[in-house]
Amino acid sequence: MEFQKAKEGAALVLAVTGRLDTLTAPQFEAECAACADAGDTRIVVDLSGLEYISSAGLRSILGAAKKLKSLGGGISFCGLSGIVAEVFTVSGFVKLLPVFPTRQEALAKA
Amino acid sequence: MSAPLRLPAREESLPELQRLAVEAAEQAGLNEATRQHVELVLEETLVNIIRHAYPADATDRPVELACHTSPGELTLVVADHGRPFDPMSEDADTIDLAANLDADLDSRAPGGLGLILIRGMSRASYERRDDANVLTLRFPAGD
Repeated sequence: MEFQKAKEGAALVLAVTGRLDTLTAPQFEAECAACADAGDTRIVVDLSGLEYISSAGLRSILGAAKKLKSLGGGISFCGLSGIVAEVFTVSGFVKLLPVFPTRQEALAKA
Repeated sequence: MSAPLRLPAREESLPELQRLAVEAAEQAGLNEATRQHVELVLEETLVNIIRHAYPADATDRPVELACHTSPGELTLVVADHGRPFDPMSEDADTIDLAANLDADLDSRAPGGLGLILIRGMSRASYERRDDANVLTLRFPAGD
């Protein structure tokens, strides 16, 4: 799994590529915690490069979302497709967290 | 059918077991979406076994995967020798999964997601056979 970060106004865009599974999920939560520690508590996660996600990935997202919310910030998602979009839907995460088709739409609401 | 792959029920065994299943899914001619279901359902099944089937300090903790292919269909059989656990039974649910699906961020429990994915993306059946948990996961091409 790889991360690319870009500041967009008050928000940070975190682009994630690769796989978010049992073995890599701790890296995602650690990356979000590092962003929060650096003062970036409004995060837009771009998942257009994510190939695969499992429940361990969802749990790491839930952990990051709760932490950012407790700090007065928030997390949103964009660019979901294929299995990633399907897993977000089946698990109810599309109702739980803000999900947008594009990065621009996510940033407009971040 | 190939011989079952038997490995320790540990996280480091996940890539090899998932690779075997994905190769079998390709041989069966399943499309990409169904191949991803195979990979995901297997990961969720194995993680349950890794975390819960054996005592944490058990050194003998095998998990076995057998892949059966026929044109347009893949069947995975996952077996372990740990404590009885039927992931298809509602007794397996320690929380109300349906209510949790609608919960908001503050009340959403982290557990139960794997079971939702297993049940939603495969045709699964469970059997306790002698001292083994045997979970049969079917993936027809059309699913």
